[in-house]
Amino acid sequence: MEFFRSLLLAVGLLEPSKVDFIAELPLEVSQLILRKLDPESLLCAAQVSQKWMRICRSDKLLRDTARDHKRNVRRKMMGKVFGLDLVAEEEMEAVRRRHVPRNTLPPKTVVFAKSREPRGLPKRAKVSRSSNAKPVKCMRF
Amino acid sequence: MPNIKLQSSDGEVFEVDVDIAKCSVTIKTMLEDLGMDEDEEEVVPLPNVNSAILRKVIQWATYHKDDPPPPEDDENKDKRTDDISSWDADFLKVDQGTLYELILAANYLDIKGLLEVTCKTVANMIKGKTPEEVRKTFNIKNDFSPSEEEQVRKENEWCEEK
Repeated sequence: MEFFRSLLLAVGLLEPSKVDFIAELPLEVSQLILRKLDPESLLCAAQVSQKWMRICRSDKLLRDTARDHKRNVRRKMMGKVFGLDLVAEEEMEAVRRRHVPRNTLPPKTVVFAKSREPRGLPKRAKVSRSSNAKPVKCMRF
Repeated sequence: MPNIKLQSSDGEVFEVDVDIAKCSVTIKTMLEDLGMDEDEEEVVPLPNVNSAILRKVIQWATYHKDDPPPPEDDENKDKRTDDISSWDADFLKVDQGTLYELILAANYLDIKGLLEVTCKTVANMIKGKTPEEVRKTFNIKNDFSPSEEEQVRKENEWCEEK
């Protein structure tokens, strides 16, 4: 039987079997597999299907891994934009919140401390666009 | 070395060295709890494992019989998946259906080493791939609507605390 199967496979009459491991295996085994992924692969895995996303969400360890990674990436990105090193997430949030409305305000209100020129905003927009396009194959912040 | 007999779901009986069979915690517990090792004629039924898979499991356990017991850390801090021995890698060059059944058997028989290496093999099939590549690898249908997909891709909100 097995010989017959390999023969059919060899001549291309039979498709090699494919299994949706993560969806089909018992939950704890699927989680065991997903825990072996690096954070970026994990974030991609969560985008494969609704079921995969639910399984990722069901495991605290997986949520923690993904969330920490997202924060680190965001922090690094913000660090590049503002020339800062790693800063606490809350500070970053505050900085970002302060900057968002600037898009809608007249430039005069966005003067950075030392210069009168409102150069902060366009520079940031440019940098953030280019770093948006780069970082990870399948997710953007 | 005393042998015991293991019977697969399709009725085939395998005679195995007790020490090799005991790498399965399920069989070990069965033998200890039921005192089955006293009776040589006793056959241990394994209704969840067919003969093709049981043969492979015994082959794996025989090769690994002298391995030190795997370390007991459930935290799974070690995420390495590139440390599969070449013998295991060759052993696991099977189609996805067989690999799937091997994982189920390793889980049911509670053979930590085999479960570990089979899970690593699947993880390696996912690593470094885009969602679309993963779908193609396992023949999975994308059941996100385009807007949901865009949302998931951008936000990945599933990992945020609820």
